[in-house]
Amino acid sequence: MSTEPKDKAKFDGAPATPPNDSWHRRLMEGRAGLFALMTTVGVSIGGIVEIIPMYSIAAGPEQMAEVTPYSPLEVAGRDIYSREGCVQCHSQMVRPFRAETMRYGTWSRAGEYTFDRPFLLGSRRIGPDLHRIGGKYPNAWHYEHMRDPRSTSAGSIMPPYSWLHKDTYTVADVTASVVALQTLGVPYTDEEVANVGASIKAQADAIVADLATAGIHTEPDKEIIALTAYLQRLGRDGSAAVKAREAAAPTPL
Amino acid sequence: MSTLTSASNHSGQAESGANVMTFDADDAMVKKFILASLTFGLVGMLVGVILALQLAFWPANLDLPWTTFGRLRPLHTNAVIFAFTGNFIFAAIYYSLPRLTKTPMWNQTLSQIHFWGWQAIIVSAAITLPLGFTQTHEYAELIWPIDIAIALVWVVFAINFFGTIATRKVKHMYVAIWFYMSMVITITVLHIFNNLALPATLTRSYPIYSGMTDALVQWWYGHNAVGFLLTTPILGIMYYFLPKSVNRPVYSYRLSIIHFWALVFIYIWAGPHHLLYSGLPDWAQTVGSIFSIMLIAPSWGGMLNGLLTLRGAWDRLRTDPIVKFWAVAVSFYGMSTFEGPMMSLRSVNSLSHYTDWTIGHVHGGALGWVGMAAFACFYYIVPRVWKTTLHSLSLATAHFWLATVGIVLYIVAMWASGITQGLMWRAVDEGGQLQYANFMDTVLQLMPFYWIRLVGGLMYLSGLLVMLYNIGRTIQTSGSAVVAAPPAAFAK
Amino acid sequence: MSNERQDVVLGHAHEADGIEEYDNKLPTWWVGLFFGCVVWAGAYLAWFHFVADTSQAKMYQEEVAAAALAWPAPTADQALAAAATPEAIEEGRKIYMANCVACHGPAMKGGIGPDLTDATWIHGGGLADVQKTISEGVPAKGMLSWGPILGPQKVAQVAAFVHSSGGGM
Repeated sequence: MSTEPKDKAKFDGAPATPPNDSWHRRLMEGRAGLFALMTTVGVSIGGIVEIIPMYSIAAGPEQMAEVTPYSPLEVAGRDIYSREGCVQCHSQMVRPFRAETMRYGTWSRAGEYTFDRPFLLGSRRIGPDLHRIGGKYPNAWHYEHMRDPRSTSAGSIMPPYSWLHKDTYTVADVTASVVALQTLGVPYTDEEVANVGASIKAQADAIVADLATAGIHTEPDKEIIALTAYLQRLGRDGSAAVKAREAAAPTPL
Repeated sequence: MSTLTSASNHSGQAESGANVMTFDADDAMVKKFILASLTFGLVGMLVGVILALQLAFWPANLDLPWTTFGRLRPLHTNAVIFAFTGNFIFAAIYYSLPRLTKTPMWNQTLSQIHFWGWQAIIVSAAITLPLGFTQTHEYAELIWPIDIAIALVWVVFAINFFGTIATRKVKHMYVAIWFYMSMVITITVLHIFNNLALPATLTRSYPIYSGMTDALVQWWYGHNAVGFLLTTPILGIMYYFLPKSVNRPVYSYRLSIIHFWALVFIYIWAGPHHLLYSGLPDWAQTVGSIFSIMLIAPSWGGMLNGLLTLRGAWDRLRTDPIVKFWAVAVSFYGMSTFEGPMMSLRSVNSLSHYTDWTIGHVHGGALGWVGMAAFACFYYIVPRVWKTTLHSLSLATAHFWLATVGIVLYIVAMWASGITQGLMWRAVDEGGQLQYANFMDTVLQLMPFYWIRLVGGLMYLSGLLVMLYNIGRTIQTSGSAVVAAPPAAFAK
Repeated sequence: MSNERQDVVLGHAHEADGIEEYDNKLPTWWVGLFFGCVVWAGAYLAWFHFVADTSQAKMYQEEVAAAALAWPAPTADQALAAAATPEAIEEGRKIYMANCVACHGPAMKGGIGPDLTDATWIHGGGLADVQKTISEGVPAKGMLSWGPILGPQKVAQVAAFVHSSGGGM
């Protein structure tokens, strides 16, 4: 590398020959409006081509009749899952590899996420994938795991979430979420929206009763009950849908 | 207000003979943005170090809701992306745009609204994220009222930006301005479309997109927030501050044209590489992969123009910390923009995805490219806007080495950790069954790497503290330099 | 193009705050890299979607089929027969300690799951019964299906351990 520019003299002054302006300089660099427009067009094409077709795909072949909306208690649990940032360490996406389906269960299909707002696929597995966690462990396991993760998983680096066992959710708050989701097109009937409180009570009471058989006594309005309901629901509709399709089709999906 | 003066030439010798302008009002904004960037940079990186400790030593979560990893990680990413880098970009633009257009920023009131509005957004983010108020979209966690505030402040900035360009006193826009413009436009589009949501309460909303569509829109946003907040504006900054720092011509004008338009067109397509092997249609995954590969050359165009502009200034690599910072920044840019496309290939991604390799990759870009470029600019700008000379050259050099060794420790630890865990997840025994059926086995194996990463992060943070001290002492001597000729900071 | 002089400034510095620009030609290898990547992208797209059927669903089926050939699963009886040695039972103990203690306790006295040392066997106390319970699980009660996770050999080993160390009949 030379330490001096070859045209030191010119660099210090004007170039030897008048510059022959490039097309870019003549057409673009003097016109800020045109430049901004071309930039806008340039950055728009890719997004349009990729995102628009998703609407026809999501409404078509990927749909799974077995996948139904989350119950109000599960919506409350999902909000808690979001609030605590569970997604920072846990994915909800089993990839189509044998090593993953052996570890977690059936790999994840697009149609399973129909009612996921926001999506919670995650980007890092500091802990294991949770998409097939539903029904994998008893309710008591989740209760103890959130209180002290190391009591159920020796060596875990997950922090305890003891406040979930004390803090409560409210029916009014869950109703606001269900109403918003209904407005966005999640097929809750008006009757279901009117009966959010009853729905929550039935599902929460059942979990509390089940916990009691394991010697755990708590109340149905605790946040841990809602979170448990959500975790126990995760991925079950999808597994059932895939099983049904595999039984119906000669070649598995 | 601008004043025409030939007395204090802070903009370089090349304009000798012509009238030289100063932009005192804009430089006052530059000072504010720099101080904000340094302050929030310290906070963001300190939180990063705490997170690194939490992964190595879980009791550091403190058993409090607002100090757990799940709530603090968004605080870390938002602080370093929008507070540290955001304020750095604004400082660099408020410094360079008036000088490139020979006109002050269009409206000083909008400048003030931009600055104070942006800081208010950051403070509200720092309060709401630990409280658990989040949309969960990565790098778009902030709740809907703050999103509206971001949109408004961003529009204020955009008006000020385009107003300045519209009133410019030069005919042609220099390449740095093209890159700034691509950021202003693209971030507007990304922010609005990714945050379309219906509020349920004051702190909670649900996106208008669902499932895989929501995932695709989010990663269209997430990937291009990296592209148009952490890449193109920094390239624009490089095109101004790097040739200024070494007082050398930019290597190739035609390369800058080609790599600019190639980046603008190609970058946007690569988002789906974050969703390989997901429920996204196979064709969309493939498009994400191939556009990532096509990004290598346009990205390296920027690296080449940076490195080859340093040609002829390599002797100063040994003596001038600014040149050191730029050389390492541009090198890490080249490394990260090769590594990223490789991780977008299905075969590599099947190993790297969901592991610490991703974390290492993003920090190679963030600490190596963005951070080092920011430090180079701060050491360049601070003596000029405070009209003085840098307090200590050797402290700046010490900062450089702390940062560089810190980055290397960090990313090597994350490569080792990521590849280790990826291989353990897929390992099968002689009977074809999972060798590490217990997930915990694959976590406990990573602990040594997590401690090494913590050391690397601490070194990088220590370097920042050294710079804060150095800049603080420099500011104390504000106004002492009468004429600062390039390289102003180190005139002896 | 190859005859162009290098390092000639354009003379735009007056519009760029004094920053000069050369207009050096693009490095040949860079141009090659650019077009090479574009060609590769087109070829990969064509191959992946139009030449070979390489959908992720099909790739998964192929992987599973190849594994079934490489590691033919022993029948449950074969696995049990092979697990009758003290070494296999010791292996079973390790598997138990890694995977089962969370619910059944280190002393097998139960907790979230039932006691394995008493004489009560909800799903049958014979060796084959224990093997079947571990392999298929009891989804209604939260007992996992360990078969897909551990495979027949390890299930047999841990069944042999539970049967010999617990209250098996």
